Amino acid sequence: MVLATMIVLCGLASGEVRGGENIWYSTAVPGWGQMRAGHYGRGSLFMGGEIAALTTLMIADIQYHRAVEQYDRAKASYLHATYIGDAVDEYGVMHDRWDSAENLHGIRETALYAAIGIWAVNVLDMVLFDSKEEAPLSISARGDGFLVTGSLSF
Amino acid sequence: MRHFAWYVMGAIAALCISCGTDHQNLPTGFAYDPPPTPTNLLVVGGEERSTITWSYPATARASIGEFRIYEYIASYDMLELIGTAADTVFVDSLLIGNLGYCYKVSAVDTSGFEGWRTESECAFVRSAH
Repeated sequence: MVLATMIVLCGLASGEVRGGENIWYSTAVPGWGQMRAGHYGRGSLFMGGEIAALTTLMIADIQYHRAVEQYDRAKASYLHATYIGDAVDEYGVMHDRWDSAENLHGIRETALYAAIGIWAVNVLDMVLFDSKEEAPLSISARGDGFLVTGSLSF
Repeated sequence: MRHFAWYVMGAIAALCISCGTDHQNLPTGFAYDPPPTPTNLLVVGGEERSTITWSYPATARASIGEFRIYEYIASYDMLELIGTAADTVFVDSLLIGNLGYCYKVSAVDTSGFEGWRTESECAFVRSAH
């Protein structure tokens, strides 16, 4: 994955890859370049997948930090306990929060790798399989806004 | 658009780095070795007073700083520390008569760490008149 990303990045930097401007759109927002090229199905798939992965990552990250805070509090209470009953209770809470943080860390990492993977495959898709077809509907950025262009082919 | 794409790639790299941070390690094992729990707790009700006695292993006495005596109010599941003792006897006085009183006792080691409390023992305290 890292190697593929590096190849694409080097290609983009040197300007030796196919796909032209659409690659930069896909690099910025997965699926955008495909949509500009008229491949709405593929574009939606990449964009939807990326949004889902990033949303999962964001939620898991917030919950992970919350679980770590709770774990730190339980750990401090456990380490400063002066009664065996409190120490046993806090030890249990500390373990629960640790397990919770571990699970959320796993989910977070999975979502992160999924987001990077979708992004990399999306860029590779543009580099390797970008066709020069005229898009029936395209959107492009301009200096003062966006330009939506429709075209008919016979 | 090229600049924006580079910003996105930078953001992805930052995301990778920030998500790579892990939480601190879990402390291994249970760190506390509590003093033994007092045994044979006995509460004898008297006239507006109750005498509380208990047993404690002689081998563990050297590591004990004090014993803590709690009044236990069962209806509220509430404990109130009413005193400490260096020996295995405690007298709770100036009580209101014709009421039942329950107690729990625990041992505290010289570092200040308190062991398990006993089960509660109760006695009826008589009025002085």
